[in-house]
Amino acid sequence: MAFRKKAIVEVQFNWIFILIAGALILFLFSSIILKQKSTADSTTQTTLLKDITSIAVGSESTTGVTNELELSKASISFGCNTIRIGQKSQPLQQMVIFSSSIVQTPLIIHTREWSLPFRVTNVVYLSSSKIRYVLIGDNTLARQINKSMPDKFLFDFYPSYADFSAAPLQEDSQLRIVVFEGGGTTFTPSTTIHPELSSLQPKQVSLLLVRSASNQNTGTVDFYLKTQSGWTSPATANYLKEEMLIGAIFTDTYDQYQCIQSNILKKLRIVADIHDKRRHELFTNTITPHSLDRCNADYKDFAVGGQSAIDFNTLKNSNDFGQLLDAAQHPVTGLATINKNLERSSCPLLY
Amino acid sequence: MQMGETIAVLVVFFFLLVIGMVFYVNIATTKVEESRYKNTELEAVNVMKRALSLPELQCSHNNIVDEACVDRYKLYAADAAVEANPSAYFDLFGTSTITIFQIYPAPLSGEEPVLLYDFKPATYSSRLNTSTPISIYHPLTRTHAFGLMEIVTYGK
Repeated sequence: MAFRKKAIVEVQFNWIFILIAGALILFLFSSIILKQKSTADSTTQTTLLKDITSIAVGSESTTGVTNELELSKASISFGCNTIRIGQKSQPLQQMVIFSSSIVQTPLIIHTREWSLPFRVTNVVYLSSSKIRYVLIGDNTLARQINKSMPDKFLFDFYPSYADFSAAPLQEDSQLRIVVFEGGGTTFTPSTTIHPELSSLQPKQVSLLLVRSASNQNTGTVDFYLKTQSGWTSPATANYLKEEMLIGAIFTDTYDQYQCIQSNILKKLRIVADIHDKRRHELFTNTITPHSLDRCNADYKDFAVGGQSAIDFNTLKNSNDFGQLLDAAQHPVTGLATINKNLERSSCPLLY
Repeated sequence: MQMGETIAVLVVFFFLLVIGMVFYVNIATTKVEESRYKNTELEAVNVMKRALSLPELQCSHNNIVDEACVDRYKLYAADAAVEANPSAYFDLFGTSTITIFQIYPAPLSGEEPVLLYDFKPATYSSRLNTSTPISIYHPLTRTHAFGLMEIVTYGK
Protein backbone atom coordinates (compact mmCIF):
# COMPACT_ATOMS: atom_id res chain seq x y z
CA MET A 1 0.00 0.00 0.00
CA ALA A 2 2.83 2.38 1.02
CA PHE A 3 4.78 1.45 -2.16
CA ARG A 4 1.77 2.28 -4.42
CA LYS A 5 1.26 5.64 -2.61
CA LYS A 6 4.94 6.54 -3.14
CA ALA A 7 4.67 5.66 -6.85
CA ILE A 8 1.59 7.91 -7.26
CA VAL A 9 3.38 10.83 -5.56
CA GLU A 10 6.45 10.30 -7.80
CA VAL A 11 4.32 10.29 -10.99
CA GLN A 12 2.53 13.48 -9.89
CA PHE A 13 5.86 15.12 -9.00
CA ASN A 14 7.23 14.14 -12.41
CA TRP A 15 4.34 15.90 -14.17
CA ILE A 16 4.79 19.03 -12.07
CA PHE A 17 8.53 18.94 -12.70
CA ILE A 18 8.02 18.52 -16.48
CA LEU A 19 5.53 21.42 -16.49
CA ILE A 20 7.92 23.74 -14.63
CA ALA A 21 10.94 22.70 -16.73
CA GLY A 22 8.90 23.02 -19.96
CA ALA A 23 7.62 26.46 -18.96
CA LEU A 24 11.17 27.55 -18.13
CA ILE A 25 12.52 26.31 -21.47
CA LEU A 26 9.62 27.96 -23.34
CA PHE A 27 10.20 31.23 -21.46
CA LEU A 28 13.95 31.10 -22.20
CA PHE A 29 13.46 30.61 -25.94
CA SER A 30 10.61 33.14 -26.15
CA SER A 31 12.71 35.80 -24.42
CA ILE A 32 15.66 35.04 -26.76
CA ILE A 33 13.38 35.37 -29.83
CA LEU A 34 11.82 38.62 -28.55
CA LYS A 35 15.24 40.07 -27.75
CA GLN A 36 16.53 39.08 -31.22
CA LYS A 37 13.49 40.68 -32.87
CA SER A 38 13.93 43.97 -31.02
CA THR A 39 17.69 43.91 -31.79
CA ALA A 40 16.97 43.25 -35.49
CA ASP A 41 14.42 46.13 -35.61
CA SER A 42 16.86 48.45 -33.89
CA THR A 43 19.69 47.36 -36.24
CA THR A 44 17.49 47.97 -39.31
CA GLN A 45 16.61 51.46 -38.08
CA THR A 46 20.25 52.24 -37.26
CA THR A 47 21.46 50.96 -40.66
CA LEU A 48 18.81 52.97 -42.47
CA LEU A 49 19.62 56.08 -40.47
CA LYS A 50 23.31 55.56 -41.17
CA ASP A 51 22.61 55.18 -44.90
CA ILE A 52 20.51 58.36 -45.03
CA THR A 53 23.07 60.30 -42.99
CA SER A 54 25.85 59.05 -45.21
CA ILE A 55 23.89 60.21 -48.27
CA ALA A 56 23.25 63.58 -46.63
CA VAL A 57 26.89 64.07 -45.75
CA GLY A 58 28.35 62.37 -48.83
CA SER A 59 26.36 64.57 -51.20
CA GLU A 60 29.29 66.97 -50.99
CA SER A 61 31.21 64.73 -53.39
CA THR A 62 28.56 64.00 -56.05
CA THR A 63 26.45 66.35 -58.09
CA GLY A 64 23.76 65.92 -60.73
CA VAL A 65 23.08 62.38 -59.57
CA THR A 66 19.66 60.76 -59.13
CA ASN A 67 19.25 57.53 -57.19
CA GLU A 68 16.29 55.43 -56.19
CA LEU A 69 16.93 53.65 -52.91
CA GLU A 70 15.06 50.43 -52.19
CA LEU A 71 15.34 50.40 -48.43
CA SER A 72 13.41 48.46 -45.82
CA LYS A 73 9.94 49.87 -45.18
CA ALA A 74 10.20 52.90 -42.92
CA SER A 75 8.88 56.35 -42.30
CA ILE A 76 11.66 58.95 -42.06
CA SER A 77 11.10 62.29 -40.32
CA PHE A 78 13.20 65.32 -41.15
CA GLY A 79 13.53 68.16 -38.66
CA CYS A 80 15.93 71.09 -38.49
CA ASN A 81 19.31 69.35 -38.65
CA THR A 82 17.83 66.05 -37.43
CA ILE A 83 16.86 62.84 -39.18
CA ARG A 84 14.62 60.47 -37.24
CA ILE A 85 13.52 56.88 -37.87
CA GLY A 86 11.33 55.39 -35.15
CA GLN A 87 13.07 55.94 -31.84
CA LYS A 88 16.48 56.58 -33.42
CA SER A 89 17.60 60.04 -34.42
CA GLN A 90 20.75 61.47 -35.91
CA PRO A 91 21.64 65.10 -35.25
CA LEU A 92 23.64 66.88 -37.96
CA GLN A 93 25.37 70.23 -37.83
CA GLN A 94 24.66 71.53 -41.32
CA MET A 95 22.11 69.44 -43.13
CA VAL A 96 21.44 70.46 -46.74
CA ILE A 97 18.56 68.10 -47.53
CA PHE A 98 15.32 69.52 -48.89
CA SER A 99 12.48 67.09 -48.25
CA SER A 100 8.98 66.72 -46.82
CA SER A 101 8.69 66.47 -43.03
CA ILE A 102 7.84 62.77 -43.37
CA VAL A 103 8.97 60.57 -46.24
CA GLN A 104 8.12 56.91 -46.74
CA THR A 105 10.52 54.50 -48.42
CA PRO A 106 11.44 53.83 -51.26
CA LEU A 107 13.40 57.08 -51.51
CA ILE A 108 14.39 59.10 -54.55
CA ILE A 109 17.46 61.28 -54.13
CA HIS A 110 18.77 63.96 -56.46
CA THR A 111 21.75 66.28 -55.95
CA ARG A 112 22.59 69.63 -57.55
CA GLU A 113 25.31 72.18 -57.12
CA TRP A 114 24.59 75.55 -55.53
CA SER A 115 27.09 78.18 -56.62
CA LEU A 116 27.26 81.97 -56.17
CA PRO A 117 29.22 82.29 -58.50
CA PHE A 118 31.78 79.81 -57.11
CA ARG A 119 30.68 76.37 -55.94
CA VAL A 120 29.43 76.59 -52.35
CA THR A 121 27.76 73.28 -51.64
CA ASN A 122 25.68 70.50 -53.13
CA VAL A 123 22.02 70.41 -52.21
CA VAL A 124 20.11 67.15 -51.84
CA TYR A 125 16.46 66.76 -52.84
CA LEU A 126 14.84 63.79 -51.17
CA SER A 127 11.41 62.49 -52.02
CA SER A 128 9.50 59.28 -52.48
CA SER A 129 7.45 57.64 -55.20
CA LYS A 130 4.40 58.38 -53.01
CA ILE A 131 4.70 62.17 -53.25
CA ARG A 132 3.33 63.93 -56.35
CA TYR A 133 4.32 67.48 -57.30
CA VAL A 134 1.85 69.46 -59.38
CA LEU A 135 3.24 72.60 -61.02
CA ILE A 136 0.58 75.09 -62.17
CA GLY A 137 1.31 78.26 -64.16
CA ASP A 138 1.91 79.40 -67.70
CA ASN A 139 5.38 80.54 -66.87
CA THR A 140 8.90 79.94 -68.25
CA LEU A 141 10.25 79.13 -64.79
CA ALA A 142 7.55 76.49 -64.16
CA ARG A 143 8.24 74.84 -67.54
CA GLN A 144 12.00 75.01 -66.93
CA ILE A 145 11.73 73.35 -63.52
CA ASN A 146 9.36 70.68 -64.82
CA LYS A 147 11.74 69.91 -67.68
CA SER A 148 14.85 69.82 -65.51
CA MET A 149 13.52 67.36 -62.89
CA PRO A 150 14.53 63.71 -63.32
CA ASP A 151 11.71 61.39 -64.49
CA LYS A 152 11.92 59.37 -61.28
CA PHE A 153 10.16 62.16 -59.37
CA LEU A 154 6.40 62.43 -59.89
CA PHE A 155 6.15 65.89 -61.48
CA ASP A 156 3.04 67.03 -63.40
CA PHE A 157 2.78 70.33 -65.20
CA TYR A 158 -0.48 72.18 -65.98
CA PRO A 159 -0.52 75.66 -67.56
CA SER A 160 -3.76 76.60 -65.71
CA TYR A 161 -6.15 75.54 -62.92
CA ALA A 162 -8.65 74.50 -65.62
CA ASP A 163 -6.16 72.00 -67.07
CA PHE A 164 -5.46 70.59 -63.60
CA SER A 165 -9.18 70.38 -62.75
CA ALA A 166 -9.87 68.50 -65.98
CA ALA A 167 -7.48 65.72 -64.92
CA PRO A 168 -8.56 63.24 -62.20
CA LEU A 169 -6.57 63.40 -58.94
CA GLN A 170 -4.00 60.63 -58.71
CA GLU A 171 -4.07 58.43 -55.64
CA ASP A 172 -0.76 59.33 -54.01
CA SER A 173 -0.21 59.56 -50.29
CA GLN A 174 0.98 63.20 -50.51
CA LEU A 175 0.26 66.00 -52.97
CA ARG A 176 2.38 69.14 -53.22
CA ILE A 177 0.81 71.88 -55.34
CA VAL A 178 3.11 74.60 -56.64
CA VAL A 179 1.47 77.68 -58.15
CA PHE A 180 3.64 80.04 -60.21
CA GLU A 181 2.12 83.50 -60.12
CA GLY A 182 2.10 85.53 -63.34
CA GLY A 183 0.97 84.97 -66.90
CA GLY A 184 -2.69 85.06 -65.85
CA THR A 185 -2.26 82.72 -62.86
CA THR A 186 -2.98 84.12 -59.40
CA PHE A 187 -3.79 82.47 -56.10
CA THR A 188 -5.84 83.45 -53.06
CA PRO A 189 -6.96 81.06 -50.32
CA SER A 190 -10.45 81.07 -51.90
CA THR A 191 -9.21 79.95 -55.33
CA THR A 192 -10.64 76.60 -56.45
CA ILE A 193 -7.67 74.61 -57.60
CA HIS A 194 -9.31 71.24 -58.16
CA PRO A 195 -12.87 70.13 -57.28
CA GLU A 196 -11.67 66.86 -55.66
CA LEU A 197 -9.10 68.57 -53.45
CA SER A 198 -11.53 69.16 -50.57
CA SER A 199 -11.98 65.39 -50.16
CA LEU A 200 -8.30 64.94 -49.27
CA GLN A 201 -7.06 65.00 -45.67
CA PRO A 202 -5.19 68.21 -44.60
CA LYS A 203 -1.94 66.32 -43.97
CA GLN A 204 -2.03 64.94 -47.54
CA VAL A 205 -1.90 68.32 -49.29
CA SER A 206 0.31 71.40 -49.09
CA LEU A 207 0.75 74.37 -51.41
CA LEU A 208 3.56 76.68 -52.43
CA LEU A 209 2.97 79.98 -54.18
CA VAL A 210 5.99 81.22 -56.16
CA ARG A 211 6.48 84.87 -57.06
CA SER A 212 9.67 85.17 -59.06
CA ALA A 213 11.48 88.39 -59.83
CA SER A 214 12.14 89.32 -63.45
CA ASN A 215 15.64 87.79 -63.26
CA GLN A 216 14.09 84.46 -62.05
CA ASN A 217 17.04 83.93 -59.71
CA THR A 218 15.34 85.57 -56.74
CA GLY A 219 11.77 85.80 -55.52
CA THR A 220 9.45 84.87 -52.70
CA VAL A 221 7.66 81.67 -51.81
CA ASP A 222 4.51 81.37 -49.66
CA PHE A 223 4.03 78.12 -47.74
CA TYR A 224 0.37 77.09 -47.25
CA LEU A 225 -0.91 74.07 -45.32
CA LYS A 226 -4.39 72.67 -45.91
CA THR A 227 -7.07 72.91 -43.23
CA GLN A 228 -10.56 71.31 -43.23
CA SER A 229 -12.07 74.53 -44.61
CA GLY A 230 -9.27 75.97 -46.77
CA TRP A 231 -5.66 77.02 -46.27
CA THR A 232 -3.63 78.34 -43.32
CA SER A 233 -2.21 81.89 -43.41
CA PRO A 234 0.92 81.79 -45.52
CA ALA A 235 4.48 81.92 -44.21
CA THR A 236 6.66 83.84 -46.66
CA ALA A 237 10.32 83.17 -47.41
CA ASN A 238 12.81 84.22 -50.08
CA TYR A 239 14.84 82.11 -52.47
CA LEU A 240 18.14 82.67 -54.19
CA LYS A 241 18.71 80.76 -57.43
CA GLU A 242 16.67 77.98 -58.96
CA GLU A 243 18.23 75.25 -56.78
CA MET A 244 16.85 76.93 -53.65
CA LEU A 245 13.42 77.37 -55.25
CA ILE A 246 13.34 73.65 -56.08
CA GLY A 247 14.27 73.13 -52.42
CA ALA A 248 11.15 75.07 -51.40
CA ILE A 249 9.08 72.81 -53.69
CA PHE A 250 10.44 69.70 -51.97
CA THR A 251 10.06 71.10 -48.42
CA ASP A 252 6.51 71.25 -47.09
CA THR A 253 7.11 73.45 -44.05
CA TYR A 254 8.41 76.99 -43.77
CA ASP A 255 10.57 76.21 -40.69
CA GLN A 256 12.39 73.35 -42.38
CA TYR A 257 13.02 75.45 -45.49
CA GLN A 258 14.39 78.34 -43.41
CA CYS A 259 16.66 75.93 -41.52
CA ILE A 260 18.20 74.49 -44.71
CA GLN A 261 18.47 77.95 -46.26
CA SER A 262 20.33 79.22 -43.21
CA ASN A 263 22.74 76.24 -43.45
CA ILE A 264 23.45 77.07 -47.11
CA LEU A 265 24.08 80.73 -46.26
CA LYS A 266 26.44 79.74 -43.39
CA LYS A 267 28.40 77.62 -45.87
CA LEU A 268 28.42 80.53 -48.35
CA ARG A 269 30.02 82.76 -45.71
CA ILE A 270 32.74 80.19 -44.94
CA VAL A 271 33.58 79.54 -48.62
CA ALA A 272 33.44 83.27 -49.51
CA ASP A 273 35.85 84.00 -46.65
CA ILE A 274 38.31 81.38 -47.97
CA HIS A 275 38.11 82.83 -51.50
CA ASP A 276 38.59 86.32 -50.07
CA LYS A 277 41.73 85.25 -48.18
CA ARG A 278 43.00 83.64 -51.38
CA ARG A 279 42.31 86.91 -53.23
CA HIS A 280 44.32 88.79 -50.59
CA GLU A 281 47.28 86.42 -51.11
CA LEU A 282 47.09 86.99 -54.86
CA PHE A 283 47.02 90.76 -54.22
CA THR A 284 50.02 90.87 -51.88
CA ASN A 285 52.06 88.53 -54.10
CA THR A 286 51.53 90.34 -57.42
CA ILE A 287 52.65 93.83 -56.41
CA THR A 288 55.04 95.54 -58.90
CA PRO A 289 57.60 94.39 -59.94
CA HIS A 290 56.01 91.03 -60.63
CA SER A 291 55.35 89.27 -63.92
CA LEU A 292 51.63 89.29 -63.04
CA ASP A 293 51.42 92.89 -61.78
CA ARG A 294 48.94 93.67 -64.60
CA CYS A 295 46.44 91.49 -62.70
CA ASN A 296 46.99 93.20 -59.34
CA ALA A 297 44.17 95.76 -59.69
CA ASP A 298 41.54 93.01 -59.78
CA TYR A 299 42.82 91.54 -56.50
CA LYS A 300 42.87 94.83 -54.56
CA ASP A 301 41.82 94.85 -50.91
CA PHE A 302 38.53 96.25 -49.63
CA ALA A 303 40.34 99.15 -47.92
CA VAL A 304 41.66 100.42 -51.26
CA GLY A 305 38.35 99.96 -53.07
CA GLY A 306 38.98 96.63 -54.82
CA GLN A 307 35.74 95.53 -56.50
CA SER A 308 36.33 91.80 -55.99
CA ALA A 309 37.03 92.41 -52.28
CA ILE A 310 33.80 94.44 -52.03
CA ASP A 311 31.90 91.57 -53.66
CA PHE A 312 33.44 88.95 -51.36
CA ASN A 313 32.63 91.18 -48.40
CA THR A 314 28.98 91.35 -49.52
CA LEU A 315 28.85 87.56 -49.87
CA LYS A 316 30.31 87.18 -46.37
CA ASN A 317 28.04 89.66 -44.61
CA SER A 318 24.85 90.54 -46.47
CA ASN A 319 21.48 88.91 -45.91
CA ASP A 320 19.88 90.70 -48.83
CA PHE A 321 19.43 88.21 -51.69
CA GLY A 322 19.41 90.98 -54.30
CA GLN A 323 22.79 92.25 -53.06
CA LEU A 324 24.20 88.71 -52.91
CA LEU A 325 23.14 88.04 -56.50
CA ASP A 326 24.62 91.35 -57.67
CA ALA A 327 27.93 90.62 -55.91
CA ALA A 328 28.08 87.31 -57.77
CA GLN A 329 26.55 88.02 -61.17
CA HIS A 330 26.31 91.76 -61.82
CA PRO A 331 27.21 92.24 -65.50
CA VAL A 332 29.79 94.97 -64.70
CA THR A 333 30.90 94.62 -61.09
CA GLY A 334 30.05 91.01 -60.20
CA LEU A 335 32.65 88.38 -59.37
CA ALA A 336 31.73 86.32 -62.44
CA THR A 337 32.55 89.30 -64.69
CA ILE A 338 35.84 90.03 -62.88
CA ASN A 339 36.79 86.37 -63.18
CA LYS A 340 36.11 86.41 -66.94
CA ASN A 341 38.25 89.56 -67.33
CA LEU A 342 41.07 87.87 -65.42
CA GLU A 343 40.80 84.84 -67.70
CA ARG A 344 41.01 87.07 -70.80
CA SER A 345 44.19 88.65 -69.37
CA SER A 346 45.68 85.20 -68.58
CA CYS A 347 45.74 86.03 -64.87
CA PRO A 348 45.18 83.60 -61.99
CA LEU A 349 41.42 83.36 -61.49
CA LEU A 350 39.49 84.27 -58.35
CA TYR A 351 37.66 80.95 -58.34
CA MET B 1 14.87 6.47 -10.41
CA GLN B 2 12.69 7.97 -13.19
CA MET B 3 13.05 11.45 -11.66
CA GLY B 4 16.82 11.08 -11.54
CA GLU B 5 16.83 10.21 -15.23
CA THR B 6 14.73 13.28 -16.08
CA ILE B 7 17.06 15.53 -14.11
CA ALA B 8 20.09 14.00 -15.86
CA VAL B 9 18.50 14.61 -19.29
CA LEU B 10 17.75 18.22 -18.32
CA VAL B 11 21.32 18.75 -17.08
CA VAL B 12 22.73 17.42 -20.37
CA PHE B 13 20.23 19.54 -22.33
CA PHE B 14 21.18 22.76 -20.51
CA PHE B 15 24.87 21.87 -20.77
CA LEU B 16 24.54 21.56 -24.57
CA LEU B 17 22.47 24.75 -24.67
CA VAL B 18 25.17 26.69 -22.78
CA ILE B 19 27.89 25.33 -25.11
CA GLY B 20 25.77 26.36 -28.11
CA MET B 21 25.20 29.83 -26.68
CA VAL B 22 28.91 30.36 -25.96
CA PHE B 23 29.76 29.27 -29.52
CA TYR B 24 27.12 31.60 -31.00
CA VAL B 25 28.22 34.58 -28.90
CA ASN B 26 31.86 34.02 -29.93
CA ILE B 27 30.95 33.96 -33.63
CA ALA B 28 28.74 37.03 -33.23
CA THR B 29 31.54 38.93 -31.44
CA THR B 30 34.02 38.07 -34.23
CA LYS B 31 31.52 39.27 -36.83
CA VAL B 32 30.98 42.54 -34.94
CA GLU B 33 34.75 43.08 -34.77
CA GLU B 34 35.06 42.40 -38.51
CA SER B 35 32.26 44.80 -39.41
CA ARG B 36 33.70 47.43 -37.07
CA TYR B 37 37.05 47.27 -38.88
CA LYS B 38 35.30 47.32 -42.26
CA ASN B 39 33.32 50.40 -41.16
CA THR B 40 36.51 52.17 -40.09
CA GLU B 41 38.03 51.39 -43.52
CA LEU B 42 34.90 52.61 -45.27
CA GLU B 43 34.83 55.75 -43.14
CA ALA B 44 38.46 56.49 -44.08
CA VAL B 45 37.59 56.31 -47.79
CA ASN B 46 34.49 58.48 -47.26
CA VAL B 47 36.44 61.10 -45.30
CA MET B 48 39.04 61.18 -48.08
CA LYS B 49 36.38 61.62 -50.79
CA ARG B 50 34.65 64.36 -48.80
CA ALA B 51 37.89 66.21 -48.08
CA LEU B 52 38.95 66.11 -51.74
CA SER B 53 35.58 67.41 -52.92
CA LEU B 54 35.36 70.35 -50.52
CA PRO B 55 34.98 73.66 -52.39
CA GLU B 56 37.08 75.10 -49.56
CA LEU B 57 40.11 73.16 -50.86
CA GLN B 58 39.55 72.18 -54.48
CA CYS B 59 41.48 73.65 -57.39
CA SER B 60 39.06 75.16 -59.86
CA HIS B 61 39.19 77.24 -63.03
CA ASN B 62 35.89 79.03 -63.54
CA ASN B 63 34.12 76.35 -61.50
CA ILE B 64 35.75 73.52 -63.50
CA VAL B 65 37.26 71.33 -60.85
CA ASP B 66 40.60 69.46 -60.98
CA GLU B 67 40.31 66.05 -59.35
CA ALA B 68 42.51 65.23 -56.34
CA CYS B 69 43.96 68.72 -56.35
CA VAL B 70 44.31 71.15 -53.46
CA ASP B 71 44.82 74.88 -54.01
CA ARG B 72 47.72 76.07 -51.85
CA TYR B 73 46.22 79.46 -50.97
CA LYS B 74 42.84 77.92 -50.22
CA LEU B 75 44.50 75.30 -48.03
CA TYR B 76 45.99 77.89 -45.65
CA ALA B 77 42.68 79.78 -45.49
CA ALA B 78 40.67 76.56 -45.04
CA ASP B 79 42.94 75.51 -42.18
CA ALA B 80 41.81 78.59 -40.22
CA ALA B 81 38.17 78.20 -41.31
CA VAL B 82 38.00 74.57 -40.15
CA GLU B 83 39.60 75.51 -36.83
CA ALA B 84 37.08 78.34 -36.38
CA ASN B 85 34.04 76.15 -37.26
CA PRO B 86 34.85 72.64 -35.96
CA SER B 87 31.21 71.67 -35.52
CA ALA B 88 30.42 72.46 -39.17
CA TYR B 89 33.02 69.93 -40.28
CA PHE B 90 32.28 67.21 -37.72
CA ASP B 91 29.44 65.83 -39.88
CA LEU B 92 31.89 65.41 -42.75
CA PHE B 93 34.98 64.13 -41.02
CA GLY B 94 33.78 62.69 -37.68
CA THR B 95 36.51 61.34 -35.42
CA SER B 96 39.52 61.63 -37.69
CA THR B 97 42.69 63.55 -38.35
CA ILE B 98 43.53 64.99 -41.79
CA THR B 99 47.02 66.19 -42.63
CA ILE B 100 48.32 67.44 -45.98
CA PHE B 101 52.04 67.10 -46.80
CA GLN B 102 54.09 68.26 -49.74
CA ILE B 103 56.47 65.52 -50.91
CA TYR B 104 58.06 66.79 -54.13
CA PRO B 105 59.63 69.24 -54.63
CA ALA B 106 60.90 69.31 -51.05
CA PRO B 107 58.80 71.81 -49.08
CA LEU B 108 60.31 75.25 -48.56
CA SER B 109 59.82 77.42 -45.53
CA GLY B 110 56.11 78.18 -45.22
CA GLU B 111 55.16 74.95 -46.96
CA GLU B 112 55.12 72.80 -43.85
CA PRO B 113 52.49 70.05 -43.43
CA VAL B 114 49.01 71.42 -42.67
CA LEU B 115 46.90 69.72 -40.01
CA LEU B 116 43.54 70.49 -41.58
CA TYR B 117 41.25 68.68 -39.15
CA ASP B 118 41.96 67.05 -35.82
CA PHE B 119 39.32 65.29 -33.76
CA LYS B 120 40.97 62.45 -31.91
CA PRO B 121 38.65 60.81 -29.38
CA ALA B 122 39.94 60.21 -25.85
CA THR B 123 39.37 56.45 -26.22
CA TYR B 124 39.04 54.39 -29.37
CA SER B 125 38.94 50.71 -30.29
CA SER B 126 40.72 50.89 -33.64
CA ARG B 127 42.86 53.33 -35.61
CA LEU B 128 43.36 53.23 -39.35
CA ASN B 129 45.94 55.22 -41.25
CA THR B 130 45.21 55.90 -44.95
CA SER B 131 47.06 58.09 -47.44
CA THR B 132 46.21 59.24 -50.92
CA PRO B 133 48.39 61.09 -53.43
CA ILE B 134 47.26 64.59 -54.33
CA SER B 135 48.59 67.52 -56.28
CA ILE B 136 49.07 70.86 -54.58
CA TYR B 137 48.48 73.73 -56.99
CA HIS B 138 50.21 77.09 -56.68
CA PRO B 139 47.94 79.67 -58.36
CA LEU B 140 50.69 82.24 -58.95
CA THR B 141 53.38 80.01 -60.44
CA ARG B 142 50.68 77.72 -61.93
CA THR B 143 52.72 74.72 -60.92
CA HIS B 144 51.65 71.51 -59.23
CA ALA B 145 53.58 69.89 -56.40
CA PHE B 146 53.19 66.25 -55.45
CA GLY B 147 51.69 65.73 -52.02
CA LEU B 148 49.92 63.31 -49.74
CA MET B 149 46.69 63.56 -47.83
CA GLU B 150 46.99 61.44 -44.73
CA ILE B 151 43.79 60.44 -42.96
CA VAL B 152 43.65 58.74 -39.59
CA THR B 153 40.21 57.42 -38.65
CA TYR B 154 39.32 56.21 -35.20
CA GLY B 155 36.81 53.45 -34.50
CA LYS B 156 34.54 53.69 -31.46
